[in-house]
Amino acid sequence: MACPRLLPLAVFAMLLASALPAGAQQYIGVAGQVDIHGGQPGQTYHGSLSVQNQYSSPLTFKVTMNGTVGGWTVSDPPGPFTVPAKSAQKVLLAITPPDGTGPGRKAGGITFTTVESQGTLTASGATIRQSVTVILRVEMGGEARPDIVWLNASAEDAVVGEPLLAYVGARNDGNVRTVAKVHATATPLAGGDVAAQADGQVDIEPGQAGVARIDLGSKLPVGQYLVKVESTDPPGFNAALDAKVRAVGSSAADGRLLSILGNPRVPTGDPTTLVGWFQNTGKVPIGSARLFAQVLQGETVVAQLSSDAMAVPAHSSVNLTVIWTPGAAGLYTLVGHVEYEGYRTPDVEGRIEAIGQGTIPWPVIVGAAFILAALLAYLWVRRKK
Amino acid sequence: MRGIYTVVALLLLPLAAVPLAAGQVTLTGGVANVAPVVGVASFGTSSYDPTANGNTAVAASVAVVDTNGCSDVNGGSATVMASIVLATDSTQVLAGPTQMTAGSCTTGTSQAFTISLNMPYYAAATNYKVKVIATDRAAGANTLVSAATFAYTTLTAMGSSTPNGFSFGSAVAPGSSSPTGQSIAIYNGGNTQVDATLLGTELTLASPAATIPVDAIKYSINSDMSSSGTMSGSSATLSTFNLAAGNAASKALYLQLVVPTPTTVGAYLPAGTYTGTVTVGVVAG
Repeated sequence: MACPRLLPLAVFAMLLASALPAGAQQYIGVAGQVDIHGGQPGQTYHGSLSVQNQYSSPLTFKVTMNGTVGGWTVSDPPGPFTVPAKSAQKVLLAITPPDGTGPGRKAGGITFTTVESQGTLTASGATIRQSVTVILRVEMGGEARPDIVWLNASAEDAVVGEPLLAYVGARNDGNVRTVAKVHATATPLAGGDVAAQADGQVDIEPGQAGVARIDLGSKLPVGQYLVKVESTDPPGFNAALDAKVRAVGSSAADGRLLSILGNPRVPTGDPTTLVGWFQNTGKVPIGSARLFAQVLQGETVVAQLSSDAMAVPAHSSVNLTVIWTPGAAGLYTLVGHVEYEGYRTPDVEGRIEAIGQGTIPWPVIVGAAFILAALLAYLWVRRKK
Repeated sequence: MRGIYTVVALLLLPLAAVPLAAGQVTLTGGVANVAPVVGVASFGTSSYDPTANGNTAVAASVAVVDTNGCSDVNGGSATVMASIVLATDSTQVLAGPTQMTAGSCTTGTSQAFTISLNMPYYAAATNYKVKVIATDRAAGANTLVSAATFAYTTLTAMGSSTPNGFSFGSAVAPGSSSPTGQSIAIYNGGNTQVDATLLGTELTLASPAATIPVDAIKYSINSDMSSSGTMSGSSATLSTFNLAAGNAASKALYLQLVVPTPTTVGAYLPAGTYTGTVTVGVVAG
């Protein structure tokens, strides 16, 4: 059975009369404005406003502050205060920008709201309160000192059709609100033209950190991309990131080649082991990971190397090894990457020096010379005695 | 002694009746008129606050010097008219011209005048001067635009067409809305363009206790409630309201109640009169 109270909400169109005839206009107002130039941290600035009650009865006003400058402001009287009919009340303001406030425009507001609701209702509706807000403006003086410190960069894997996003963190060590700007490109990791590029920026208050978000779009096909991030304002920061666009419903493996290590100095003709330290950073096991490395002398590739494939459990790491025998003395550069589950890591570089067989290493020569010099000095001293 | 004076007077009378000799001049004209000069004007104070939806009396005084005497600029056909003009453009008249009131006369030629002119509330917040035109009885005239200025401050003010409260009108069933087109007219009672601000409370029924949430109240600057916003307990600014200052300038703000349907089994919204509070405000914008 339906509850008798489940009735339509009965509302009667009725506006109760108060002391005022319907449609009568009565006004509140605030005369004056606050616009401070050349503000200095720690200093107190004074202003005044005049709150007017043009009603034919007294009104009580409450005072609320908002915004940055509102937080620096103290009013006298603090409110609530009552203003007689057809009168005005002077309100003094003391505004103190706190220490550490940098130059630039700051704003806030002070609102005077009537406490008395106008009218009494017996029909559904709302009694009315009125308010007037005055904007408080402070132009802080001093020398602007922008100082953005770039912190880090990252890129998120994306599902095809969704945006590929990169992020760059920064901190504002200056004294002014500053916009930090970055640019990013996405290139297929296997090589090719830039597939997407975009700008990002973040607006950071002094002493705060923020993250610039770069949306490289949602049109990239499934694949792996090298995301290069470069700061444009202020310049000086760049990073190369690895990001994947994967098919819907798939959970992509993810790994990083942390380094290529080996004996930094090896004799020519002797085999040496080079170790690729690979970490599975994803949530799924990697069935097969293989290190591919090139040994270069200058621009010339002198060796192409590849390791055996190894399985890598989730959140684990393995050493992928290759063996190389230097044929001639000299400095070599190692450039390697790991291929896994159809993906590859960005390249990692290392260095190795090969020394000739029978060649006395220079530390041995230096040591021997030192011993010989000491011996000669000893003999000379003995002879003088 | 009386007899001696009478004899002398009789002897002099024939001399007065002697005709003028050649070369002598007869003065038949009077003193020429000189136009009055308006002296330095001053104001009661250097700054005046506008009065919300009203006039503000601006006091000005000036001395008018007329070498033909104070009476030449005070009374008869003489006028001393004052008006308030923009400091930057004396052709822009904000108040007056109005006849000034004569005060005291000093040194016989300097006549003081005073006036209280009504500045309208919607006059722009800027600097103003007084312009005085003094015309004497002989229609000689001079004009002064004062060097002194007074500042008319910024006034942010509002009035409402519904100071008694706002009703959502006809009966509203749960799940339906109050009629569109119900508005509060907001009047700009100051001299700066304003945007409207709004915040509200939930509507409550005293017995049995029940509430309609504040977000059931929608607001819009359009009568059909297009592009409406949702009322909340935090102040929202309608930045597109843009109500310019002007004589009796006003704009409508439309409110509508969208009564929710109880979604929980067993819940209901009892019939009755639900009331709350809406705070309508203005901010320069």
